[in-house]
Amino acid sequence: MSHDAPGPTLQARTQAFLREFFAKGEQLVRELVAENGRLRSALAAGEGEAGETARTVDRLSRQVAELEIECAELRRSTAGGVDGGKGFRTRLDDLEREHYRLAAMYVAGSQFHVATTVEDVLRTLTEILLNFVGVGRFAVYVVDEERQTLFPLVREGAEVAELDELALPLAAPQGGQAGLAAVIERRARWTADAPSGAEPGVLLQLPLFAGTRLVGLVRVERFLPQKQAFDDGDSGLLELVSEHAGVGIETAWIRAHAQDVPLSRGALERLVGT
Amino acid sequence: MTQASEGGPKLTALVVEDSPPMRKMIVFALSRVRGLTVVEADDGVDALRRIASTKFDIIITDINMPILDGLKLIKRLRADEAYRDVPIIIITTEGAEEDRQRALALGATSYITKPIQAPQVIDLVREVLGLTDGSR
Repeated sequence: MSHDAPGPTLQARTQAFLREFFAKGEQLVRELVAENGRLRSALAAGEGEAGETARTVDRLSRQVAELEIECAELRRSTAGGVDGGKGFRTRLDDLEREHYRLAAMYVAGSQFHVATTVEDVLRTLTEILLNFVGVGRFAVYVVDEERQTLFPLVREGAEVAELDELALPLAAPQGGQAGLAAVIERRARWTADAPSGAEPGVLLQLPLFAGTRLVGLVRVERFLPQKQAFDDGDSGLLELVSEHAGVGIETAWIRAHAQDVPLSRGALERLVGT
Repeated sequence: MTQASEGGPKLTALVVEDSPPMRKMIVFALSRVRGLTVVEADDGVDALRRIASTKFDIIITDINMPILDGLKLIKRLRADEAYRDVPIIIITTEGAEEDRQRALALGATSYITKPIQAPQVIDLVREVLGLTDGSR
């Protein structure tokens, strides 16, 4: 029988195991401490980055807010610019209309001035009312001084034969002629602040005077379809018609009945007193 | 002949209208279009006479005129190679729908309705001629 060499005793093995166990435990604790320290450092570092990030975010937020404010201001000023542009355009259109109205008055006045016949005067009157003012139906009455009547001479937009004469004077107007009487009694051209003379079926009555002599009357009955009412620009033209058409008719009447006498120096000098 | 002003495009318009007041007002309105030279004609025959000697860039014509009316004028112009594509604006009344349709069928480009207003005339002519805002 053989005998193996005797091994470490149980006590020695137990002690070795315990040394190794505690050594590993110590090692583990050191590693844990180290890891803890690293993690603390990392955490501290992380907190620093987060703080910086927060500051950056704050800075960027402020910049964004500032940009938004600037953007809003730009939007406001752009809108203001657009509104301003619209305002200028509206103003320009107003000026064009005013300019055009003055030109219309100039053209109308000059046309009455160059009219040499009653027909010319009536044509000009018709064109102004129809094309410049926008009146679709109206009648022109002229005074018959011998018979003391206003008789319908021409009518635009309907038959003149439908109309009756109007008796003068109108001192005691009957019902529907009260407006006409008010217009004629002024003995002056129509103005925007004068009575309109509106009556049933008549929007406006324009007396045609040559000085204080009543020559005729325009009864405005209806607008063109695209026009609903007189506007501010119409009154100047209507005043002009009331003033110039009467003078034009009287002048054309005198011309039609005047002798054709040649101009002569002697006669002209006598006329001007030289 | 009315020269609106210096600068801008050099274009020439012909206004054909037998009514002197109406013609003067259209000419006046067009004088507001910068660089546009405006020539007047009393009626269609007068217009053809002027067209024979001048090439116009736009024609504005009334419909109801003696001798040669606006519809016949449009027909004559569209038969002319030089005026096949030249804008023609007609002047009509609100109630003249039939005339307006006939004119457009014959080749009219657009129309103005009486009573005319300067801004509308100016804007339409500028639009038809493709002029910019600076031309007004």
